[in-house]
Amino acid sequence: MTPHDSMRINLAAARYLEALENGDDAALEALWRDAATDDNLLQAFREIHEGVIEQDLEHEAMQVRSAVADAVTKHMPGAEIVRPVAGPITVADVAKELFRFPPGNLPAEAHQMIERLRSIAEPLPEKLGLPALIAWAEPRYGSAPEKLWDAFRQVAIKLKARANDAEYQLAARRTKPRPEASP
Amino acid sequence: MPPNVSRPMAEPQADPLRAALGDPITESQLRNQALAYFSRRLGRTIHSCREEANDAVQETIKRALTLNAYDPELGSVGGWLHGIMANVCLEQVRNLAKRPKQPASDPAAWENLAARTGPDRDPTELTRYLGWLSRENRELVEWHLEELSHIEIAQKLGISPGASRTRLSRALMELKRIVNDKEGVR
Repeated sequence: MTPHDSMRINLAAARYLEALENGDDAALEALWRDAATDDNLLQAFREIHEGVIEQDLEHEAMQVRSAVADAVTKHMPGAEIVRPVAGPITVADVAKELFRFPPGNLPAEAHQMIERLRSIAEPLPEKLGLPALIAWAEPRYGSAPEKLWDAFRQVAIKLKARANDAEYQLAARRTKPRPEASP
Repeated sequence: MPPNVSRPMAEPQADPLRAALGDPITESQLRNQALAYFSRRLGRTIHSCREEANDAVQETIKRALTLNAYDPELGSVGGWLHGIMANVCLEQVRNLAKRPKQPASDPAAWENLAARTGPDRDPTELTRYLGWLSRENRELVEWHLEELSHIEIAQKLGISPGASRTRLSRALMELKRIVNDKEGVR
């Protein structure tokens, strides 16, 4: 296919999409006549179909996600909509998760550390083994009980796994009632 | 060195129509055509058009076999089948509640755009027109003018070649409107 052919086909494909969207059956008929003897044009029209379907399915999926999120927000006020974090997982992402779902029996200084870490936008280290994590975190943010770093590590692994999931995840999970929400 | 084994030649396919109809890809391509057409003409979602699309595929196959009039001299069997599908879709839409038709586009407007973007284009004039496009559409049209393939565009944008084709088509539709508005062509 020459460059000139490629430009001609791009223009014909645009005409085809326009005719398809405007319901211009006469133009569609003429374009299909051309495609009968032009394999490149035929392929371009097939790609237009694929593109249109892909775009519509994405739009439909987005509407469904939005409707589910709206319904969850409206009918389950104590629920959280879980979405994968965009970009690298940060210390703050993990700390926020720990703040929302604190493990039991953490000493007071661990809660103070969680509070501090909630504002740290630094990405997590590559190695998340407990000794490596402690060796990485304590020089930066100060010492804390090992129990906290262990909980931090578990949440970090969970968030990383969630982010690695290519598909958008939408899940509703009950949270513990917050003190301010109590009557 | 492996022995020189003579492999039997593949049997020439006697009936290209039956060969095409026996290929699941053909059916899928025909269904895509019907889905794209019905969703646009009926103003419905892709999911809600599946039943009509399946009916249209069956009707197209039935007609193709009944007509049995495919002539390789007149083009590819795929093109012939898509032509039958176009007629089947049109007939089905006539029997269903349809969306009001939009004004048909003028082929002269497309020919004018082809001249403005073709090999003899005026770069200054074209740059001026491109300036009216959105940033995303301008980038797509520039790639089209640089003769990038859709596989290359798709890779740059992290999308499928089909999505690249559709996005470029929309960008060219916008450029056509701009060029013809400025020049007073419909």
